[in-house]
Amino acid sequence: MLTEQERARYNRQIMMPGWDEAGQEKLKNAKVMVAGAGGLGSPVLTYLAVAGIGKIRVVDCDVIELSNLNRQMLHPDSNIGKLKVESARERIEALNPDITVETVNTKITDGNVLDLVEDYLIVDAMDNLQARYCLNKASLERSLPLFHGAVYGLEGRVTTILPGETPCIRCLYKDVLPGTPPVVGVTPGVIGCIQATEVLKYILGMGKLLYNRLLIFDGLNTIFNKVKIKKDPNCDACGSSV
Amino acid sequence: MHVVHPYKTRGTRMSINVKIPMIMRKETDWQGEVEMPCCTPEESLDELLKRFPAIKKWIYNKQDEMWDRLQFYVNGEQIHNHEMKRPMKDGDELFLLLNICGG
Ligand SMILES: [Zn+2]
Repeated sequence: MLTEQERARYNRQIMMPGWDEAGQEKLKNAKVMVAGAGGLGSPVLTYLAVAGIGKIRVVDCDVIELSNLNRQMLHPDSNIGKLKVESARERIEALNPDITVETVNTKITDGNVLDLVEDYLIVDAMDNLQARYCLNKASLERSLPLFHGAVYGLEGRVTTILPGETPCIRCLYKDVLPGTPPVVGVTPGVIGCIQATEVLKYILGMGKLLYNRLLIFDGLNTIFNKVKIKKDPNCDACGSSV
Repeated sequence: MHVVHPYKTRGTRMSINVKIPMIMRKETDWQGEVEMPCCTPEESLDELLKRFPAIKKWIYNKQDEMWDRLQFYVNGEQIHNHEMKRPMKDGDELFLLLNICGG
């Protein structure tokens, strides 16, 4: 049941055809883990929090640095030197006190990922392939959807992974460009918002998700391309021989 | 500059459109799309290297093996390495994609 305050807070989205109070209750009962409270994590956490996801778990292992602030808009300048997860908690609780925020200040590894994920939906807002592989492992082992985003400069990618139905992260990425990528804040802004949209649609059972599709955002030319991606039958993680 | 494409001399009118990732465009005089008179993804890649030799570092590593971080799509559908010799039709689009990982 929604409280009077929740009915008022979420009124404008409850008005959406097909959303209704029942949809809002689905969000209230949902649990989402956001891996990474940086460039992608900032918009993802912001929009999941204000949309009313009941339980949000934030996992990150970094402290805020000045050079993060061109894109990680969850964190204010005054929080430089603080743990990102603590700064994220402050911001999310200020945005929406009606939801629960859990924070874990740790590096995601193959050893801890299953404990971190439990049965939460997984948002991949990481910045390195190794951590993404860890999330992929948990997604496959627990049959949980994985909402993937990646950025470079003014270019971004999004896909939604459903174990058994779509390619996994290992099907998609054998290797990535190495090094510290340039990032303009608007790019993770666009990509993170699309990831959050996918999460909401998944929970609500609305619309069409980015299954078996990779959305490519070319911010320099303002073009969105959508391509069909395929499972790799020889994939080490989800292939037929696993 | 007038360029005579091989397909014109052969009398056929085969032309495919190759889309270049943003990251590589410094090496293609900032061109994002180029027309190629080729019949397969592999031939198109060879032709691209002929026209823009500096692009090689994005395609091949020091051992001359193709980077695993490169992906190919024909008309929006992913193709894997064993499909690089698959014939394409006039007007087809070959889309190169470089895997990125920032967050
Ligand atoms: Zn796979």
